[in-house]
Amino acid sequence: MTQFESPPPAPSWPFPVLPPEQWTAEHRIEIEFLEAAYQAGYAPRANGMEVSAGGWDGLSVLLLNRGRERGKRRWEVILNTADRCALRCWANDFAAVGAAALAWLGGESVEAALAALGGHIIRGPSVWPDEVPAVAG
Amino acid sequence: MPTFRLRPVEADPFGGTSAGDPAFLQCVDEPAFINGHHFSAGDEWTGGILYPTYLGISFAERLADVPEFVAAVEALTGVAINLVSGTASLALPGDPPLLGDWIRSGLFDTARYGRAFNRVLGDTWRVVVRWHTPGDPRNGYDVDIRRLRGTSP
Repeated sequence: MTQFESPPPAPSWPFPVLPPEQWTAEHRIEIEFLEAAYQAGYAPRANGMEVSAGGWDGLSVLLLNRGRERGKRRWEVILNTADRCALRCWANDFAAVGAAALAWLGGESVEAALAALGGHIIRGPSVWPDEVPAVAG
Repeated sequence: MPTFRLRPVEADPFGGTSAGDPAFLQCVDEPAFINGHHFSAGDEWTGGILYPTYLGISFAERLADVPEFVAAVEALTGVAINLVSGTASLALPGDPPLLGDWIRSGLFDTARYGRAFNRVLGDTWRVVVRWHTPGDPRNGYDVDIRRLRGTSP
């Protein structure tokens, strides 16, 4: 890569990872999510700073790494339909984030996704119609 | 120079890299000291991951301190960083604006931010902003900050 190129897009799962004996608990949770999303046909991608996947009827999720707070990884959770953002929040537990993402991609409701996130939401949630529209201006 | 705690991939008890992808070099979040100030539990700071060819950061907050963060990562890792990249979010309703809101409203001055990098790291830095998802602001904005080595403003 030269200094003028943009970073490559997040690679599609599956991609090479550390040997299982070197996985941490967090690695295992992330890998389980990626594998579950892959098996369900959601074409997950991940690069450490973000995880994304797309489901049926234009449903998609974007999970953005937002650093750590009090030792816990923070994730910005964005659940989209084809034409609007249905839910945004920040949460600090990837197991819950992944469960919410899989629920959403599987066609479950925003309420089901919120239930999956449970007490791990640390900012928000913001739910449609307060969310930003799909098309600018 | 700010002091940051670097998390080698192998030693990170939390698994700082997504899925343990060995392509990532370091996770560089959760600093202990910045500009002599000790950040305790509850303080917030941008997180990042040092990839082989660029530094990915979260652009969550403390935007003004990112150049020093980059300088610290360079100093601590010995890796020359020519590209800093991340996704800028929109704030949740009722929360203070984030970088994505400044970009959306046209208030983010990319040239000024590039000069902030120049003051800390030297060289010219060019800031490029684009939608994370083309044509769709919902997912925020990708921000690339690129060093043009051997140049000055």
